[in-house]
Amino acid sequence: MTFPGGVGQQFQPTRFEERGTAVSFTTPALSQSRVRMDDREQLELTVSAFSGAKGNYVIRWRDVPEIFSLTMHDRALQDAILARRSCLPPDIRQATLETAKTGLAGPEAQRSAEEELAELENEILLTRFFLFRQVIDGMSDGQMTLQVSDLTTSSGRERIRSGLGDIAERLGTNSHELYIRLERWGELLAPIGLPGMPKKCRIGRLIEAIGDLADRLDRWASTDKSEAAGLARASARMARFTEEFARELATAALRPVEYADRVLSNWDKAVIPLKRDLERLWWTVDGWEFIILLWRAHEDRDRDAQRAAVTEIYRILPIIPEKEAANRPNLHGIQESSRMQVRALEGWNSGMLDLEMVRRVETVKRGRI
Amino acid sequence: MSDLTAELRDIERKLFEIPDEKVAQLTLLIERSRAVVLSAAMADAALGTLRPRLVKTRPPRHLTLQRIFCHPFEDLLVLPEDGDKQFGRISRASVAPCWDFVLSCLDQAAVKELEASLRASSPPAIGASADPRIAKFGATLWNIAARRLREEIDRANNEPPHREALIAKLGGETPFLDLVDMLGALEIAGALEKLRDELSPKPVGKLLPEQIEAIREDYTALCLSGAAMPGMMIAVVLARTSDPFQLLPVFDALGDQPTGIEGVKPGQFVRRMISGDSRRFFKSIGRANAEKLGDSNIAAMVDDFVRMIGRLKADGIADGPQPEMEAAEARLREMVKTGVLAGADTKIMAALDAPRRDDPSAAQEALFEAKLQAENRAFALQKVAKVANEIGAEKEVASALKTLTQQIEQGGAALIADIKSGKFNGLGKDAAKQQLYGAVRMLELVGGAQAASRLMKDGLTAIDKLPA
Repeated sequence: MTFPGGVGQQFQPTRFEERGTAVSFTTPALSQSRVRMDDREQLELTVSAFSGAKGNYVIRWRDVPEIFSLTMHDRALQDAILARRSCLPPDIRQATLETAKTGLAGPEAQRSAEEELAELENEILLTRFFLFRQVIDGMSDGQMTLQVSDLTTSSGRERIRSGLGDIAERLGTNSHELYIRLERWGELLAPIGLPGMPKKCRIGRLIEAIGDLADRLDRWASTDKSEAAGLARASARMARFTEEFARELATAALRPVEYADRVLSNWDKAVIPLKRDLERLWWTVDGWEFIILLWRAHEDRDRDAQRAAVTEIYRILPIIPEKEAANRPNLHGIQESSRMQVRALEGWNSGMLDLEMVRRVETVKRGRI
Repeated sequence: MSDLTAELRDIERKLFEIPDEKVAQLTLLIERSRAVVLSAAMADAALGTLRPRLVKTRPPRHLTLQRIFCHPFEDLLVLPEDGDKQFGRISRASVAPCWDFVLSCLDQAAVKELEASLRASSPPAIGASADPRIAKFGATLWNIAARRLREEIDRANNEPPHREALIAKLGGETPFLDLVDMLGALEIAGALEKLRDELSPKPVGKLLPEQIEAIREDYTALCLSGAAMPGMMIAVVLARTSDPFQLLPVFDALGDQPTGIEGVKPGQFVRRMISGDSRRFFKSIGRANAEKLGDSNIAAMVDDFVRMIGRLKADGIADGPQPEMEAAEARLREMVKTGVLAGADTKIMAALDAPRRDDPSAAQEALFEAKLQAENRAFALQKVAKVANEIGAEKEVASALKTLTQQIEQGGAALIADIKSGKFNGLGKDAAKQQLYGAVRMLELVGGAQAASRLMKDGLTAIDKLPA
């Protein structure tokens, strides 16, 4: 897999932290712009240049409402992210769902966020259950049986704690501490879930959907005669690369479960690489959900709309930074040749938001992977 | 029949959940059962239900000689708006009588042989972009049919009694004129097939430079070949694009090349076809029912109308009296009043309630539905407001938006007063916020971000002072 290099490369971030996390703003000009930390640990926004020039504008996060006409949803989202003072993808995601839950992006986005938050809790519960079961089965000679409901009631939790006593002693800790470690580990792994779980968790589904998107874009490109076909193929190649990279990271993040005893006995040290691996996985898939939903929303539309969607996808493509995949010699930045058009996102003289454009972005926000 | 209707509704609901293979089986079954088990109308209704899925899945269709016969001109087929012949288009109602006539002109033994070969041929796989059998069998059928039809049409043109008899046989003047167009397309079927490849998939949006070049080259070659009706290629090209206006400069540049119609140049052919299509669109507006259409569709129709008349006027196609256009404009104004403005206040104010945690799920569902409807109405209002002056409805729409904004602002002010007076003390901050956000969202959609921002700020300040 090789990508054309070019002048665009000098603007490519070298680390995930530099690239930042995509924010699901509904203000069209800011849709999928990125938040990151500056060198003084202050949040800042990077927005692609509006005039079609290469490179990005960088704006202090707190100044964003002064510079742009934001939708009410985006004012609330900007506030929520500012309050969290974090630009990590899971934190941005939580802020996004909590904001959508207010209904400021419409009732469908509200319902979708409510359902997703509930699903998130279920995934945590189920992953914890599978992790507890795997550890207990492996270290207690199958003497203790476990039900999902044990994790939801105080009596059940107490029963597990007392059952963990022997194992904890062997690991040089106490049952209370071991329970907390397993709970924390389960929460960390919840986005990918554990093998054998009855349904795929969020990042697992997202990885699959990224691969599926690559196939769809390739199929579409084979039927299109315009320049957009090339952009679709390049986007598909990046999607495949991301899918492959994310699968490897997910496998690596799950590997420590095989030697859970060592991880749990050295928890304070072991949790650091665990968190780092999962963080990298989150960064890797960040921004793809919007792209997948954007394409799904355009698959049944006319050719011009599809070409515009492909151009937009190429523009916001979350490219894996060079140093994050340094061991993969085939990754080079994709030339940013798509920013050739000025998009009509705001009335140029009034600065008023075009509600129809806002609605298009909100429509994508309603969907879920 | 009611069972079948219920089943169709069920299929419609689950249309995108049915596996591709099932869709393919179902499609073939319906098409093969047509006129044997199901009535044609029932089969059409069933296929109509499946159509959105057919576009996506592209199952192999039940191929008949009639379908192959229609292939060269299938892009031109339209549902009859009235009994008149539409320039460059062929009425679907003409297909059956014309095909019966063509069939009666052909050698019956050869037809049977062709049908047998067709039955024995294998359909393409699901998702295939084209059925290769069409070109294969078409090459024979189109050629023979064109030759026989040419004899009949030439004779009709030269012998008035024969023409009258043919018109009587086909059931009217329009099917006869449609038959002439069918002949024109059949005679250039090979060239049309080649160009169709260039102009795929349909509808073609903005034409690419290579496509424009291909159109010019193919049309010029067709004219040089001495084809009787090269204009049918213009008709097919227009029918395959979503923006026919872009073809005006393309065909204007072809100057005086023939079209098969005396005195009509390629550019004029395009204008006449656009004019016919736009009249058809105006007539369809006249038939539209505001109640059935719904607010979003009315707004979209107004938008389409305004774009269309803008283009027609810019290209000089709408000069002179335009009774259909004026009637459509008046009808749209009426539909905006009854379908978008009327009841907007009730709909939008009903959505300002916030669900309470203890509300039964049916009540929550009803409120969700009310909110969706209110949002759709607000978006429809804003869409219409952008172009209302073009249909003479700007005053009514502006006044409705102003009144609605005031009503929502009053509702918001009352909410803040309630919060300040302690009415939300028992319900908590979250309940107050939920109510506030509902009003802010509606105010943003109807009155704009500034007014919404004021309400949000004042509301959150009041909520902050609520006891924890």
